[in-house]
Amino acid sequence: MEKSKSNPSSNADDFYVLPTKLLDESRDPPKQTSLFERIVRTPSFSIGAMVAYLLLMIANWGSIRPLLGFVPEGILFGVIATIPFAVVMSINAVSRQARTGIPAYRDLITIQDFIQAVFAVVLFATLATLIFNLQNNLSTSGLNINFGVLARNFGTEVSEGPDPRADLNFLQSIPLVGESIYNLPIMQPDTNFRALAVGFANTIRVVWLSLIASTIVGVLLGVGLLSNNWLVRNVSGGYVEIFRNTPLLVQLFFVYNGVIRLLPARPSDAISLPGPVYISSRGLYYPALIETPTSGYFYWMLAAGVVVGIGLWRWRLGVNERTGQPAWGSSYFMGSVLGFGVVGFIIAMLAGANPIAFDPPTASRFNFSGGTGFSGEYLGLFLGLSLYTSAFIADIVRAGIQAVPKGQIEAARALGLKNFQTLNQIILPQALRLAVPPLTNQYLNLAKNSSLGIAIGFTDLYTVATISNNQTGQTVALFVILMVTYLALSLFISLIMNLFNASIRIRTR
Amino acid sequence: MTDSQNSAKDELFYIAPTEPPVSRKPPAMSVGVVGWMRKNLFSSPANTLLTVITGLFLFWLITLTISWSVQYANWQVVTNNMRLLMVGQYTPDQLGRVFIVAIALTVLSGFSLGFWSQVTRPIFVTIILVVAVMFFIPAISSQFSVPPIRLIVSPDIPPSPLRFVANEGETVSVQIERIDAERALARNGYVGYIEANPATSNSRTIWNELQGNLRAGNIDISEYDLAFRVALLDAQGNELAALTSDAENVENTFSFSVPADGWYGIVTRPLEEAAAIGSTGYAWVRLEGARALTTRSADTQQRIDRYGEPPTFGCGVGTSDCTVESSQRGLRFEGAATFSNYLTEQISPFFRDIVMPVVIALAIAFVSGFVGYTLRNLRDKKLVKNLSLALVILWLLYLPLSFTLLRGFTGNPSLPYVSTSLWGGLLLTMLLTGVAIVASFPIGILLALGRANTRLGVVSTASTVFIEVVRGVPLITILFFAKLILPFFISASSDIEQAIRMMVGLTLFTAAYLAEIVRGGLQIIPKGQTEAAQALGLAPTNITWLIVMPQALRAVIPAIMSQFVSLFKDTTLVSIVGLYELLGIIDFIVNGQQQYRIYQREAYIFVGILYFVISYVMSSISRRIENTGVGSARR
Repeated sequence: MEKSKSNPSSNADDFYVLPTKLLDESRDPPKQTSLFERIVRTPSFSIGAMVAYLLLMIANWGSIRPLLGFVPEGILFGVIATIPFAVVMSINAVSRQARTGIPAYRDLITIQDFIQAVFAVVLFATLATLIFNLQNNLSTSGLNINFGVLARNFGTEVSEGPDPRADLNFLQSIPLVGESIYNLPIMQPDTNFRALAVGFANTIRVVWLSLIASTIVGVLLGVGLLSNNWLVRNVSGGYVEIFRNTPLLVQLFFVYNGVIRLLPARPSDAISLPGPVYISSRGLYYPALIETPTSGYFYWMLAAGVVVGIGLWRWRLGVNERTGQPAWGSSYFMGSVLGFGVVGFIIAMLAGANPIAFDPPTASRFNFSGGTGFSGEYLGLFLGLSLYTSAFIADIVRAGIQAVPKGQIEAARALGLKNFQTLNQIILPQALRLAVPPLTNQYLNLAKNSSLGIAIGFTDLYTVATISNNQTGQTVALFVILMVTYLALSLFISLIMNLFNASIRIRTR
Repeated sequence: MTDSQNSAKDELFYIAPTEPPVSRKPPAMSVGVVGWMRKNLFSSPANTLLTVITGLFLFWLITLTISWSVQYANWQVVTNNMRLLMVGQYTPDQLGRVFIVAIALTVLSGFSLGFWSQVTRPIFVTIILVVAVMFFIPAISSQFSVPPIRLIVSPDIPPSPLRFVANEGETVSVQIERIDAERALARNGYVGYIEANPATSNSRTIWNELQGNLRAGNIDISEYDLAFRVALLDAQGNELAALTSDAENVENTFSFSVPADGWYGIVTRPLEEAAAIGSTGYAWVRLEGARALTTRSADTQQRIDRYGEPPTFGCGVGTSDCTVESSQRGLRFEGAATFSNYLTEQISPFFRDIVMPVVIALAIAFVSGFVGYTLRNLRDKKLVKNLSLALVILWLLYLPLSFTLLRGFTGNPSLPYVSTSLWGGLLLTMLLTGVAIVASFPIGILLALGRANTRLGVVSTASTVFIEVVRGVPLITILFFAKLILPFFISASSDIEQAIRMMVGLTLFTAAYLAEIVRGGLQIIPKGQTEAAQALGLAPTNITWLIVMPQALRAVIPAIMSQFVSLFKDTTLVSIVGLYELLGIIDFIVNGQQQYRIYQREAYIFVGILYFVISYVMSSISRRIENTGVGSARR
């Protein structure tokens, strides 16, 4: 340095000489780490080891705790829980200092490790203190956490849902295809577990139908928001603004307490529509599809028609891609379904009986017999969820459509496509692809919002858990069950939607 | 040939026309209202069809809404319970504190609006106009007289006594009108209960039954002779004036000037001859005068404090038959289908109770906004900067101070303790929202930083787990946790106030969502910003707080605002776990005052409109921020 300063003409000033050794090793840790460090920094390894250690520690807490009785329990737990981390960190720190020559207190990696260790101690100590507190306070109140609550008797009834005594068959719980569920005897699940299962089935029952309804309404409204028809545009806009800016709960109360509950209650007074369909404050009743001796032929043929139809559709899409001929995929599909259906119907008629038979609901003095239907609570929650979510979906679809490059629409016009064709074949396929990620969010919200059914007395998972909690006082156990179930439901929906998203993504070069 | 030559010449040269071109008007069909309609409503057959269908639907909806709201709706459930809707059961004689908090908020927001935002002259003019118009509306609406009350007298259901407070000099007038089938069938006005214990029957059902019978021709009202007596009694049961209505005396009337302040009653009883003819007949007893005839339940307690317990009018006046009264189900027909009645009975209370406070608030906001605007344009830039800082500090202090003021201290006579369990209505909603916003903001930022900092694996794992778990479960589950489990973390006797538990629950929930929003903001900050800061030699904490965070937060202001809007809407969920906030208080009102059970719809609509207005204002502010470019990195 001295030299170069004194001699301005030296090379050092004219040229930048690459250093032979990196000055700051901590900037680039992966290349400089030892095998040991690489192993302990693998997330799956470190998290797995940590969880295993924690479980081991919790299992043996009874024998560890008395060793240091004078330390507050939570702090002791925090410190002991962090020991393996601290050990690994120290080994690392020493070995790093030996390899790099940077003193440990200046090594960025070591400092970060130290911060993490301190954080871990504080985190574990706080959590442990809170949980030990919880345990002590609950046992003083005589409410020890006990997951055995699941096997205990439920003791009351669930007003609707699939029969818990039969094996849970979710297909049966779907009111559109299942047998009459509304007229099943009032549910008396024997255990809390069965009751929660019925509640969960009810949650699924309302979520999947609202999901479909809100998507359809939302897409229509989203297109309406960008319509060139002034009236349609503003009506859609008004709908979206009103439903987005008022709380779901207000809407639910209005729909249920303000509309459904004010309908006539007596079956004889129920509003009767052709079908026959009856609407009363107890719910909506419509004819149920029932099985006849020959209906098997018809439905199997119909199923075959659907399968063949899908095959044809895909084949046509392939032809369209190869040759550019129009695909007419949906027409082929419908044709196949119809054709197979008609053949199935004829076979069934030849075999001796009409395969399609309905069991219409008939109003008796206190209830309806026959038919199937939705309860008033189901109807209220379904309507509330669908109306509310569709407003959000409409906005997402609008954003998706606006994100489609204008050139696409102009190109479609230039090719002579009609308005509807442009919308159907150019805009929507692209817009809906863009809309899938935010749509997933809305679906998750819908699933979570279904827990508001408790406000109008729909016996979904949350309602059943609340009833169970009132009877047993096992708040913590039930809370954990609730959390796990809803998390699983959320994960399931996002998994499905992510798979869907991956499958419809436009593959670019 | 010449022709072709000429045309060739024409092609070669442009010959200017000798006259200037005539400026033609555009076709009548493409401009003005017609043009607009053709373009926007009827551009194609499909569009026309769409317009017609939507138009018909809209027409049906609007006529339905208006006819319902004028003819059937009873907005008194709202106007009579305005205090409950606004502040819940907050100790009535301590309401001054709520006013202080509200006025402080108005002054602060008005001042900030004037001081910080580019409020231009048109906005000021608009505010002045709105204020001026609103000043006049109550004056206009006070011109309407209080509508008459009609008590229905019928063979099955003679009315129970109507008790009311009248002041000296007020005139009560009573008139008997025979009900004619046409008016009874018109289904106008609305039917309300008259006295306590209405749970036994639904008067609307009774009214509907009567109408059903009329329509089916089961009864003919005009056939019945009238045989009853209406008396005005004072609190001791002395008859002050009376009116007997029998076959000869169908239309009769009296007016009576009340001699002193106190309780009075209108009692209708069947005559003795009613037993002989088997009926009292069908009639309306039309009551007018004494404002207090409309028994506003909100004031009942005050009246009892001032005039004593309301009297019970026993038998002995005009009839020997006591049993009729004890079993009777009172039915009252209020108002008629005239639009002026709708205005006086239903709309003017709204103006009386809502518009005046709104006008005062707007006036205060306007004055403070003007002061703020003036101060901002001062020459002394340093003073302006200090004022800005002071304003920020005031905003930060506002919530804790008002919370303390509203809650008070135990044992302090000048500021007595008001338990949060008494808070309710809009006040509670606003406080839940405010506390959750203020408390969740720092937590959310810390969580976002923790999650984004992947170098600190433990910190980021812990933050991620918290965020994802909270985001994966419904809010109601978090509130369930906050209500039932949270207190046990602290002590065995769960004595933390319910409202505070809910605040904790809402804060945790919002923090998780906020963290994800802020993390999104952190991700869009170009890496060059951090590197440039490092090159300048800034410490890591300074890089985060001075370079990255301000840009990240600005970028996500709209998302944060919409999260706060959804938080505001989500506060309704605390009504499920038993707090009487704006939505929950409706249940409280309806359970306490059974006569409003059938008018819940009106209450929900009112509350819905309130939520809508506040949410809409919040989201349009966020849209404004987005548009004015405050959200962009460069200001």
